[in-house]
Amino acid sequence: MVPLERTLTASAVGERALLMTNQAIARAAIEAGVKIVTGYPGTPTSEIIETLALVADSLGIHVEWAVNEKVGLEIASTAAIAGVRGMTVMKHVGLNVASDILMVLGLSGVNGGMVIVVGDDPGGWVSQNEQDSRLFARMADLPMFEPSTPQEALRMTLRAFELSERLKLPILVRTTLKVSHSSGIVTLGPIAKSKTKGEYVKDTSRYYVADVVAQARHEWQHKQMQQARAILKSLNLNPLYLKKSQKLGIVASGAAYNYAAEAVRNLNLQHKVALLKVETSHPLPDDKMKKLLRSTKELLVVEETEPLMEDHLRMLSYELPQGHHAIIHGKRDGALPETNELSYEIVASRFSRLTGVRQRQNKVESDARLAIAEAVPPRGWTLCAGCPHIGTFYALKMLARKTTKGRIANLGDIGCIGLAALPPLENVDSSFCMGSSIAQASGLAYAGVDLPIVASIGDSTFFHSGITPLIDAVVNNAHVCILICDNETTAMTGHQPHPGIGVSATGKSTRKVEIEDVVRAIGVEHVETTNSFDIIETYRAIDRALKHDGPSVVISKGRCAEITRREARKLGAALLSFVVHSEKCKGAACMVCIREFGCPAIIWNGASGKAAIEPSLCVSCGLCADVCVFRAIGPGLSS
Amino acid sequence: MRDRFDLVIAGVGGQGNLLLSRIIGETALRSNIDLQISETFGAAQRGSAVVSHVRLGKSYSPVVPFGMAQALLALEPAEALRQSHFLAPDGLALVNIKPIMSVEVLSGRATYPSLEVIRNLLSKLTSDLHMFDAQGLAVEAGDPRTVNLVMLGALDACSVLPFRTENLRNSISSLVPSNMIEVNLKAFDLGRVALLRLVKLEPSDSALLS
Repeated sequence: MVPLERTLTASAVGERALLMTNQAIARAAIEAGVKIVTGYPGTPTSEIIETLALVADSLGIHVEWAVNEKVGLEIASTAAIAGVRGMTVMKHVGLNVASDILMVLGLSGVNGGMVIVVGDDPGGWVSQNEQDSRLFARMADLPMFEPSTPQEALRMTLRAFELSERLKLPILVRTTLKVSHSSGIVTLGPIAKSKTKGEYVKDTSRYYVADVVAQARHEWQHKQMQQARAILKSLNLNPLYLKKSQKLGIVASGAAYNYAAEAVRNLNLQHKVALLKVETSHPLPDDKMKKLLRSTKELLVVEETEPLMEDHLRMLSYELPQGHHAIIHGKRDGALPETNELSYEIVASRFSRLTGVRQRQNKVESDARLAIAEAVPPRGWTLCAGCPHIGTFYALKMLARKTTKGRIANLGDIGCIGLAALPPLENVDSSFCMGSSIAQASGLAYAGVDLPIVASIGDSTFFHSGITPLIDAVVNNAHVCILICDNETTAMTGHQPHPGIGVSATGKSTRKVEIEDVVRAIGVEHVETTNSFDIIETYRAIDRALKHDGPSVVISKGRCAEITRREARKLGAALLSFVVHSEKCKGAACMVCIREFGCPAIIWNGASGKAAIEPSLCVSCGLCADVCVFRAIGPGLSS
Repeated sequence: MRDRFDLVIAGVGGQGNLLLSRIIGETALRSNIDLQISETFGAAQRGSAVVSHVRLGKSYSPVVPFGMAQALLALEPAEALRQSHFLAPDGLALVNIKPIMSVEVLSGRATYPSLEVIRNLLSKLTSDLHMFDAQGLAVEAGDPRTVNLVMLGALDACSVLPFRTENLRNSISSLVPSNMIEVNLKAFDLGRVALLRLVKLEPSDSALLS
């Protein structure tokens, strides 16, 4: 078997490998001879940077976790302006952050190939929303490819680099969660030699984008996009499977195409249904769409998540003589759901209804299904056993209970701390977008809300977009307490480093930016750093901070339990478990450790009617010993 | 093998679910069998439900349609229930009987069904159901974390996978860390033997051995 590093760097053309879409995109960047790759962690695209980081040094690629997506796009695209090939990677909501520069890059253009990979999350399973990045491609008027499989992801990303260099425009590649995390067999291609040294050529007529330059460049961009349409047409992308007899047509892209193709096969519709697979989400293949509109009676558009192709088809149908084009079905007429992820089941049942072809359904007793659905216990997201945030938010919860009968405003942020909103902590109130908590807290303070106001934000999120709102809070003297929960990693997306760690994306030691130094430099007068695993210390620190008139910062520091666990495993060391001394445990009369605190390692022993600790989960953080006022919990002597 | 084989692997984060799909996938690659894998994992934390779909042979979507999986491999009994809608009627279900309680269950906000309830529910979907203590065998192999390999061994013993045992063993050897090869192969073998014994005790399933 070939290790991933060797697959990534192999020059053996035609070799086959099993790759996840994200890994295939990484391989494509290598085949394209990329020089600079940036990104910010976010599901579903994090693995692209992680994969490239494995071979960055051996291939001479600059791979970095940027502070945020905007910085990432600015770095990579400007390297491309200097003529080398660049790529930046983000999740859909990251493109919002990067959109400021995105909107200008179409005007300035680039010189080396520049690819922007964006991973959407239809259904918003791991995100705040399910926004559709294809709309961004339209708004920025930049070409966008949309692969359905790992092999296509490799081919299209590679093509995106070439096309970008030819058009001098950045090109987007859009994936969705289901595509990003699917794996398949990929055939490797040759690794290109591309420019390795950038050159800077001053050209204000391109790079000083304002006023008449912006106007002139906007015209240029439109010309480039006309050329893009012509080139894309000649490349014979967007395959159309159409026979004369077919009265029904399907237009689909991305993961939705996979469901559609599977349904066509399973329902044996190959001869009945025409199929257009859209690979260029922008510009859309107008000629093929019109051909399909003319040749069929009905069209079903299957796409995630907004009806972008559907609306475009409607627009195109106005250019055809009335009565000579298909009726369009999709999200607008309720043929398919307007929100949430699609599935094979949704698509197949719609095909079945439109064609009258019955689905070969495997009959399962619905009673059995119902009984199973009722019996399956929930297994939701939770803070991990030994998580420092459990200590921080338990301290805050107890403080609020004591001082204001539990009434505080605690604005949360993106990342693991959001999980403190779940029972039993039920402490964080909100989650909007990266870094929003601090300015939102200020907003409540300026609105005159008469409650203690806290903003809870993680360490990586603070670097990403917490610094500017903190400056705002200082300048306007907002009476808010900013609780920076520093678990020394970007935990939720898989433990990527951030500027406060002192480690680069490729694992090298680097300059560490201390959060406390940043906070003090901004001018926050009341700053305290506390140990997340010491509830009393954290409680007192937050209490003092809330009493301070003006913005205050408490940095609650405690290492992510998953890192502790991983390091112990690496060392082959057993983590000692804490134990419940059942003779001291008050059992059902108390249950504070389970009903209020909620470390997943603390379990309820129904037989004895006492709490217990699951040794395989405990990392000996010791928080629970402080929570139990009857001193029934203490360190165990053996694991 | 029929021209296609769809497998769903159900488990909990940290159980090594994704390693199994990788082992089967690499073996398929070496055997020139087309395949697609779809993995659903939430955030990086432990303890959430993780499911892998492995589709051998030509398929268009990496996601197995409901009721189409010829086999369900469950590393945890409640997860077998959670993913049971993928299993084809009378498909093969292999289930580890060691539960991992969710935080909702641990804190008393939800109840975990008994193994008998789980067995009864699953047996309404299939008669080809085998529930056994894979966790115990993993401990016997020398590492409780090898429960995934025990389950893979059991699946291999059912002769439904389109490759030879030796090819699977080779993939295991090349995909696990070198100091873990021995214990993982032992777990794999214990899983194989356990299933063969189990099947022998259930004559109705003896067809599996032919």
